[in-house]
Amino acid sequence: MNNLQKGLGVNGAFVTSESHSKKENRAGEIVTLITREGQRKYRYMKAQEAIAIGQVVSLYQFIDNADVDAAAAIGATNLKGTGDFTAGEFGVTFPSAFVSIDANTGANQTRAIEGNAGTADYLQVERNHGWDVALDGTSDYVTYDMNYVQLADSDEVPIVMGVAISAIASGEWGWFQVAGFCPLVRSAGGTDAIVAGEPVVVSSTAGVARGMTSGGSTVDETGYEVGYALHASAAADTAGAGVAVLLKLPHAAC
Amino acid sequence: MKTKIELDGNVYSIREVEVEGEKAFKIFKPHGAGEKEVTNPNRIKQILDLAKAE
Repeated sequence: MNNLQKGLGVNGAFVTSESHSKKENRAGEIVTLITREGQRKYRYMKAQEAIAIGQVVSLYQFIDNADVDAAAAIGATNLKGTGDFTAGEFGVTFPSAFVSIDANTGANQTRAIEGNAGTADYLQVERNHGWDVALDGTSDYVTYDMNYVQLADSDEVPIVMGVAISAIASGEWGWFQVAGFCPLVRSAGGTDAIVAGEPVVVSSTAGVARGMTSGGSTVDETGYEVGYALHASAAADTAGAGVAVLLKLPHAAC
Repeated sequence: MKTKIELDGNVYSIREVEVEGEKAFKIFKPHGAGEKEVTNPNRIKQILDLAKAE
């Protein structure tokens, strides 16, 4: 382990994380630890809400399908969203955000957000990479941040980003496990039992995983996998306890 | 149609709202001290089908 990775600790089978009110590492930093069974990977991210050990987290998509409020010409490097933003939140609250045009004129363009431009109504996007196609009042946009996470919930459309290895307070930073053996994933096996060797998936109880639906998986389940269960469990969800899982989150581990 | 549905340990509230002049249903469930909206299209369909059937 590199000494520059601050906040990680080890307690027996468990790797632990401090909860940092001030960011101590680079947003999205990945660290690999050599452990008794091989390697485990962790990603440094910010929690949108309070998260407990073993809870599953997903990407927090914080502004969805808003209309652009002013035309932006080809080459322009801003986007207007009147009343949509709070001054100074980009680069601070949201450490590494992007904006994508997801419908209508100029669709399928994505840019990094540098911050606000002049007033809080404008986003400053990449200064050296303006819009290739102009935006108008019909253009819809969505913003998101790969390093800002919430409790995963199948009642939304979660992009699973990791498992908490310690309690992380709301608005604070910490390490989340993204690959390898994870000894504690909170699970509601009483609803859909965990079967050894089968996938563990996100449930409709925020932050809690479950087994596959008996009688056959659904399309949603296959998209919301956390990893593979290393043992069976029919136990109800309990704070501080959970199933051991071999995590399968390659998109979060890079 | 029912306005409350219990499913998988959650109690969902179904509310009729107006979106860009059209009537639509939105579904919410308790979350922390407040509530949050169900946005998964498959789940919305499942809950609305249940609400209509009961």
